[in-house]
Amino acid sequence: MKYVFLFFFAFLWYLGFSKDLAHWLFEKNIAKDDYRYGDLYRLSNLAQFRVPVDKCTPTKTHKNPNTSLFLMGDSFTEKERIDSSHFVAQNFKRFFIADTNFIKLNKSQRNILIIETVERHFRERFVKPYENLQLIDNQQFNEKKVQKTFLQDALTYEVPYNTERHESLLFSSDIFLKIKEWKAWLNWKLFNRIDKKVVLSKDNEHILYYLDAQPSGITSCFDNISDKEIHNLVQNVNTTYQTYRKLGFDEVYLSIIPNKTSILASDLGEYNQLIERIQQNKNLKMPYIDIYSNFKNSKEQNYDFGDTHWNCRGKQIWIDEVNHKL
Amino acid sequence: MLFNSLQFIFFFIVVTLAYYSLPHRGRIWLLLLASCYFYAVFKPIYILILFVTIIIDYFAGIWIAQATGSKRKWILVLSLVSNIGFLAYFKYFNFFIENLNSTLFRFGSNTHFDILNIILPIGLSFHTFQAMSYTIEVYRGNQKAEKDFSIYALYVMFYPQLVAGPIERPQNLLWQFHTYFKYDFENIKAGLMRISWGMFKKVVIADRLAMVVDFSYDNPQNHNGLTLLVATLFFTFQIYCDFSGYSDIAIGTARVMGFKLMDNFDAPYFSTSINEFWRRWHISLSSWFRDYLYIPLGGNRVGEFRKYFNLFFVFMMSGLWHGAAWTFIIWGALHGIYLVFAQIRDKYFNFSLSKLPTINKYINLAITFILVMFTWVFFRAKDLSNAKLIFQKMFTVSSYNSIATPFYFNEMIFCWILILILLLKDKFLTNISTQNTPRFYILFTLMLVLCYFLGVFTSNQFIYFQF
Repeated sequence: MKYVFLFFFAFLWYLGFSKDLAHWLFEKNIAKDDYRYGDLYRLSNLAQFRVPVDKCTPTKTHKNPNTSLFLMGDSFTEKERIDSSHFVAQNFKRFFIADTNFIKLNKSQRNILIIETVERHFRERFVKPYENLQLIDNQQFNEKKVQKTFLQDALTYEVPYNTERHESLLFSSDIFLKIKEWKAWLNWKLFNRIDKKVVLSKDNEHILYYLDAQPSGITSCFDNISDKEIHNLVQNVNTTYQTYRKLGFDEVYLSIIPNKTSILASDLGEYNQLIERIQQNKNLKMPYIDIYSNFKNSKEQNYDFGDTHWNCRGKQIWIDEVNHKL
Repeated sequence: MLFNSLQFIFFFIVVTLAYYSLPHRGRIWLLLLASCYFYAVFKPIYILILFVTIIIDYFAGIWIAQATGSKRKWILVLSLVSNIGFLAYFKYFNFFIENLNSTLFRFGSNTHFDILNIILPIGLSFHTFQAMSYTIEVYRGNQKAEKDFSIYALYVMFYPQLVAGPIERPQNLLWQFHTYFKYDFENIKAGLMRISWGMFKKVVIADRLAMVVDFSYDNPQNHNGLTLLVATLFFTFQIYCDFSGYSDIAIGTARVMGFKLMDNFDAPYFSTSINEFWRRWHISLSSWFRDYLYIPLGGNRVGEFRKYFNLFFVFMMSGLWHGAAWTFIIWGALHGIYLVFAQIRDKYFNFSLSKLPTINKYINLAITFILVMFTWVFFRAKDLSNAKLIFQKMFTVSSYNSIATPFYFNEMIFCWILILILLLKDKFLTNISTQNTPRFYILFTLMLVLCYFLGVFTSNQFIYFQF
């Protein structure tokens, strides 16, 4: 019996080390995906926001063989949400916005670049021109791998245990989520305290991400932004635009995705109107894909209930706008 | 590895189960391996420092035992210098350079020495002191030199007390590693109960109070005196619960495997004098300083002035042990000054505030508590200027108009209830009995449920890990 327990607990412990095993368990649905009710529910475990994230039905688009679309985007456009099937462009490449990437343009096609960023990170990202996409000749480009010495390896070695993954694997089933919900409920009702990374709207109907809902800070919707800063941001956007046009892109678009807070809970403070102030700035040279006004005027929900990201409807609005531009 | 982490739960269960499945020699190697892993989770490379000190002190112990005359002394000095050398390099070098630079700057010099880009290895002060106590005790003849390298290595590395004590003595620990502890359910129950109580103190009390403390101490300029006073009071209990919680988990973890570590706390806030406080607070460290610094300096068998100097010096060193910062030095020095004044008072002005001994006791208890509480300001403040600001504000009673906290009323009340529970437990229930097994199961489960549902799992680190 002792050995059974020993191997059982050793196996449970091992789950925290193996990325591949974790991946396999998630893939086979043996372990539940802890994001299935949204990232904000995952953080807060507030039962009222336990709604499965929207599963979108694939759309069919007519491909335009002359267009290549390059997308520099954040989590709103990651591969679980957006793929090439959504766009009319024949070729589609997506890069994470914060990474430096090397690309090769196909001169025989129209090359379009979209820089997509969520509103809360716009100020940080455009504090200087955003120029981390560079051209290379694919045949000549060989990524230089930095050779690490044994000593450097030893100095920087870390035990490959991952707490977050381990916790997700072990405690994401519905039973454990229920227990987590009891704890969250107790803390909320007894102490009026919820997870630090979430904020509730005034009517408690919406759950929001703290970065954009907190009263101040560069990521906040309610942080006062001076006209001078707006001017600088626009200048940096323009420089970015010119840089990419010079690289050979036929067109470059900026797309600022509104924060959930800006749309659903702008009454939590004095909204700084960042998107409108950028998009309507008369000095802005980069064309933009606007969904803010659409989201703001929409009577339907464009965000997943327990998530910071858009739902299928919100996503489709953006895709339609992009395809329209393409 | 943190005691209050998911990984530790599995680590502890697996190591304990494996421990009871092995013969004695296997257990030693298992515990060594487990301790290496436990330490390596923080920063694997730093385990080399441990290995080096272990090797030096292991051979130093044997050579001291074999040598005669002044040779023994020189070997001891060599061992102490190497231990203190590691401490000096990793913990105090940058502090020394920063102060040297600022002194040179004040005297108009442009000379500037670069500081080192190093991280303090976790628990360095603890295991270095434990290693030093071994060589000193061998030198004094109170402990035989340990011939078995694996057992000596385990003495320094034993994972429950590796990073934050209790700082053990070889006389108490080494023989236990030579003993084969049979499975004893009483030990398991006692150990698990101690762990659960330690965990409760850490995650329910300390980490909850920490939210108020951090809120106020991170920006003292934004808060009034009353807020800072409450935060200081909360920190007084936070640090106690944090550190004694750690010690309880360490002692409990060892107990489950049959080992008995020394107690580190004994209801310190019920002390009626500073002297008594230091017999009840961080006992393993204060007794270390008493035995290996205060007494060798002459203790109280010297002239009056020298005796006062010894006291002051030892406590200043105790402050410096905690951290390479003036705030810690002042914290230690203040305790030293308290003790010197107490001795002068006892010698020249021996008086009582009341004729009733009980009243006197409570007055002394309150005075001791307040004196200790104010020293914690230096311990917690970011720097000296912040500490000064906090004191200024705390003593400006006219600004006491409201309390700013990150909590709602209910949780503030809950904090006070927790403090009351803690004090009642300290006063009336030193040990939670585990002899009655059904009662143990109920209590243990209740403690785990309370820890989970009322625990705050955002600020994980134990305060004393930084030392």
